Amino acid sequence: MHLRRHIPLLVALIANNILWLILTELNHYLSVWSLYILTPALFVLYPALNLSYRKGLLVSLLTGLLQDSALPLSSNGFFTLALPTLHLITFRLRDKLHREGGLDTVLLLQVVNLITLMVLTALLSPSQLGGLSAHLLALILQILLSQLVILVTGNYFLGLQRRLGKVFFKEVREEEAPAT
Amino acid sequence: MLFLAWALLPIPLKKAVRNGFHEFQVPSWEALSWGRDLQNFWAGRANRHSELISQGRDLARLNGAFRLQVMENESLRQELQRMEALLDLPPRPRYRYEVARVTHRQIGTWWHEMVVRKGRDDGITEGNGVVYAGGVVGKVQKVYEGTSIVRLVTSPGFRMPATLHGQTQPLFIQGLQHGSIGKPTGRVRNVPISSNVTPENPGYLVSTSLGQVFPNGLHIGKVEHLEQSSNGLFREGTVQFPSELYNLNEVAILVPLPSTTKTALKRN
Repeated sequence: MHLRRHIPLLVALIANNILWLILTELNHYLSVWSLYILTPALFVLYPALNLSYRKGLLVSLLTGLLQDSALPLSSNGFFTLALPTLHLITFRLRDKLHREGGLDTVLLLQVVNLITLMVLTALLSPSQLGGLSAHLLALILQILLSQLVILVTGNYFLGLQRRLGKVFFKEVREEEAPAT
Repeated sequence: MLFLAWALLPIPLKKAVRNGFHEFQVPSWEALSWGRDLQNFWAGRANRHSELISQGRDLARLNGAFRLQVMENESLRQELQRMEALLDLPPRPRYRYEVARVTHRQIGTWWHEMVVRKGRDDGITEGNGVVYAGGVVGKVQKVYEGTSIVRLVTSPGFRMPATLHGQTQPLFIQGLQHGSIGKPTGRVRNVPISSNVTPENPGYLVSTSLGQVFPNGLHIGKVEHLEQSSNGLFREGTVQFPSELYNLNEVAILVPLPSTTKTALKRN
């Protein structure tokens, strides 16, 4: 019974892992056009809207560590801190959002994802020859593609995780921890 | 609180966590890579027999030509060793080619790298050169137990010495992220003022053993236009790397061999 209480947490972790794997494969094929898709906001949506603060934070932190270990970022990482931050923002707004997803959730996803990608670009651009202007077109296309992926899959991914949580854990209840 | 805790964590511990998470993901990446190979295998099986026979015939011809080249290379190598011994030159670096399949590529405006299915277990170390049939790919950036991360020659911040084909003056190449999609580009610097290239008569860049990472003469890319550098002493221009650089499925890692030149000659 004790273990069953953690099923939504496990669902979130496994779903994030699988989504990350799918993105890795997609990016492998997109590399022919030197494009790379990143959707950090998508990984915190379910944990922030449906899990308690601590569990959501744990999922965000572990997912961030997973992503940082696969990408050429500094030892301090980027997603290890970015995903918990996104989780905190979404968690604080969750009383005003639909937990099953909706237009408000999609809008929030778009905004936080865009900001995260812009921060990442700002962090990495100084090390690049020619600065931001040298690859602006490719960068805009890359960010637009990422936003498009979120727009298309955001609600579906959230719904999928909610359904899985209910399938494996019948007595699932919304964990409504107060926002700290 | 979390930020503070993470910031205070010692770097070796952060690296250990990072390595752990990397190794955790490796089996899933390998599974995807094997899946892709299996897909290619079944696609190959669907080929008609007549197609396979004609491909086999073409390969047999190529094999014959390559065998002759190997024999020629061997005799040239021995000649070179004799000359080096006569002139008492330091031995040239020799390499073992470790062929590795690409697990996945990560190429975009933020980074240019690929993960390959060979690592520490196969004697690969950080900084080893990586090549393919068309020339230079990049260098090994990080080595794990069974995988390695290869930083591509197009990666921003990548630098390597090179020369123009037929010349000896060293220059250097830097990776460059260009605005155009899917076109691997770089920047060549320190080109002598006397060098002249045009789109009709481009300059071909080849590797040099100066950096002790690549052997001499491996193709890197071509440069069609050179302009005066800011200091006025050299020229510089944009390098166009082969487009298949972003579509590689197999590479070879150059693992340096301990020098055997002098000992072989002593035996002779």
